[in-house]
Amino acid sequence: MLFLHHFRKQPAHLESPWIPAVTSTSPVMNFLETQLESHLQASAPAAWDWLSSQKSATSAKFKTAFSLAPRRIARTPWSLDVKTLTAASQLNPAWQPETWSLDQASRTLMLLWHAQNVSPEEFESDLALLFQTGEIRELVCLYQTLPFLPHPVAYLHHAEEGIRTNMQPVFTALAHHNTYPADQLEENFFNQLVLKSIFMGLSILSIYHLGERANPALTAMLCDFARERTAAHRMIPVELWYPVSLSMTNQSRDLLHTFAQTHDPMTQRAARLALNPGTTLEDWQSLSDDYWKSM
Amino acid sequence: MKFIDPHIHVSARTTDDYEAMAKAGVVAIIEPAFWLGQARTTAGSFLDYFSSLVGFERFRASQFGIKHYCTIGLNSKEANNVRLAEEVMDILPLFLSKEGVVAIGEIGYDDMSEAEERFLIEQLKLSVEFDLPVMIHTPHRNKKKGTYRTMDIIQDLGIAPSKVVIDHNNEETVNEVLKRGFWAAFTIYPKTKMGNERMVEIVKEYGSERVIVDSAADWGVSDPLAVPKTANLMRERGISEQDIILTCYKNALDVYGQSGQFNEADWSTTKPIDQRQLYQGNSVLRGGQAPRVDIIE
Ligand SMILES: [Zn+2]
Repeated sequence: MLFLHHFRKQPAHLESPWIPAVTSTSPVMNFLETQLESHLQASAPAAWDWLSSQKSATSAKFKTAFSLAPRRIARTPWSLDVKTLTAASQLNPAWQPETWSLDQASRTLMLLWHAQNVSPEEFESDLALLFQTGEIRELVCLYQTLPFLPHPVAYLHHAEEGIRTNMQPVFTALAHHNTYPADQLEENFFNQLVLKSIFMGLSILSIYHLGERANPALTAMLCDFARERTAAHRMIPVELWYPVSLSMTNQSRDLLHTFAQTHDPMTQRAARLALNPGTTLEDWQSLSDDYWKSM
Repeated sequence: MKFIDPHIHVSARTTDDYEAMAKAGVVAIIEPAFWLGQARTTAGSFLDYFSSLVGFERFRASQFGIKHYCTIGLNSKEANNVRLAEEVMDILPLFLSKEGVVAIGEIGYDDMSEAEERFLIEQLKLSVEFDLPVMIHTPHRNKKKGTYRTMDIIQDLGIAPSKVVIDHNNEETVNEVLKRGFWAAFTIYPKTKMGNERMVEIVKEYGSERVIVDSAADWGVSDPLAVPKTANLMRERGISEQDIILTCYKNALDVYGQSGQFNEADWSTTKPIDQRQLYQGNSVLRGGQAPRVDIIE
């Protein structure tokens, strides 16, 4: 339904209101198990033997194995064909498993196995320890796995902590190509995630369902940010006008009308896009491409 | 020329230091877990410190193009708080199998107390269990005796000297350390103790086999550029390129590389990830998803 073509075809302003997606754990687990088995069996059967022996690991064994994974399984990327990627999209619309490496995908699989093997309480306490002692790539994996866990709402405090991190790869794992923020975060936290993304110099179009979660409070924050940047004679990242355009207020409309006349060409173009009801997400993407190329 | 500083407490240094190190050619560093200048009073402080060594500090270094590794261990000074030390021993295994942890260290003697010896031995046993190299801190006072005693203990436990770096050597200890087959590291201090000039003399006398130069720069008066500066001085004094490469780069790579966590490919092949490039040609970019461009990986 939503997945592949939804965003490209519909005008941004006509997109449906935000409906949290539900990702069930078992199909993702099966997907990873199948893919990892075929990739590892072909390239490193010993790695698959090791991984499959973790399937019913105890808590202690699981936590060690989670850390050890890159010593047993290659950190190299895997190649997934278009059919497989389409299947992944249908399991979770933001998921890009082709950007994962074999060891990280294996870690996610271990997390999903473990969630199935132990009580929710035990799983939560193990997960809390992994977050607390996490090495950078471990943290990346934990945040990438959040949307696939059973009871994802139980991990909100970890996601909120992820918004505060300054470790860019860790933040990106949570913020980009991940359904968790849009599906689970309360408005204030979601807005902070968007703003933090801009502050870190990252693209916000990579935030899943950014348009659906546009809201007047976010518009106000982004307009304030645009004014700050203007006062400091600094470029305004053009993408920020995308969520503004989907939750327009009188204040933002006035600001955009001014910017459409007086600002640098890139901002003028963004302001016109924002004010035009026929603008599509593709238009925003091509503006964004031009913006990043100009940086 | 590329350098490795295999002993530097960068958490205590500024971004100016990182910039200068990168500019001078330092490509990889090892940050040993150590004392923070003041005793910690809870195990939680250690846990957060170890987490920062595999987390934020590693990221901070990456922003300057420097690959950060660490060693994990309970230092000798804080081993003297036995109750706390026991709790820290329970935490260590959580970190020893993590990526980029290249050794147990720095461990050893400070006052040569009973408690220090107990936790030194326990951690040496952990190094066997986790199959990791060891970084030994030798005491500043009573150095010769402390160094010999540490080596005796290691050898009594049957640990191969080829997996152990004895650090903070001087002219009094180097001969015995090398003779027994250990790696001998030298910390270059800017004012007193071991200086660049003395280091040059040591390489002239003992050669470069199993000899390692480091800065041990921390929150005290110390020089994060000690390794490249010493290399330059060696070159001026006519020491061969080969000896410079071994003492300021390759030996550290070899000994800590035994962990399987310290590979030249980590810094010679890492490039920023730009998914816009990655995806060109197979157009797997999906609706509503702008490509990720990692400015710094
Ligand atoms: Zn030190």
